[in-house]
Amino acid sequence: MDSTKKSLDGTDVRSPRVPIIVADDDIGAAAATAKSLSASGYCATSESKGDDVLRRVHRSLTRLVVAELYIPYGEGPCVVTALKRERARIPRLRVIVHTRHMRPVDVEWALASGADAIVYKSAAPEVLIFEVERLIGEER
Amino acid sequence: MIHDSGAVRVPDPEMRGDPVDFTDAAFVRWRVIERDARRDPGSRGDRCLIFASPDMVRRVWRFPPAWRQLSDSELETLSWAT
Repeated sequence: MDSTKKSLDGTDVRSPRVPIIVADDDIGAAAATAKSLSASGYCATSESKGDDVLRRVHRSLTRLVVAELYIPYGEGPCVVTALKRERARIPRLRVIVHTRHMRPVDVEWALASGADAIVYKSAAPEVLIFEVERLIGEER
Repeated sequence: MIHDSGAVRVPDPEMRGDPVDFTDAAFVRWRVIERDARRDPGSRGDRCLIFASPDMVRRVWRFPPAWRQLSDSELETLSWAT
């Protein structure tokens, strides 16, 4: 199923059912974000463990991951860093850091990990929706 | 070194030149820096632009060399590029 919504300039935007993984060690937060994205027409599922996120990315089950910044996985402290290592093998993989961590050092960590965007959890829900659309829509 | 300019949080290591500030049509304040991205995993180029607002940070890979000369509305449009 596709969804149609308005872009910021008022034109219709059609979003394909690109699978999105929402990764957050706060299970409730992950589920709420996935529900918000699904309500906007995306096919979003949630994960709370970094290793499960990587496993699904390895199986090419997504093109976009929305992840909290410091989610550990088996070999390191931050799943975002591990995801960016996948870039060589999965060049179309995009990562949005959706985080409560707003210190400048956190922003630098996210950018140095290769994040395509950072959206603060304090922002209105549509900020994340529009950012998802920007990144998913870039190759249309 | 990282600077915290009011509510707009942007890192500035290896930035090229001074940041550019603008306000978009929704009156949101943005700060733009050019970042050396060669060491960032998944880099799509040597440099990128970082657009930072109180709500979010965007990375834009495709931008004109003379981006500093763009108007506020042109910078807002550029912020939606990838």
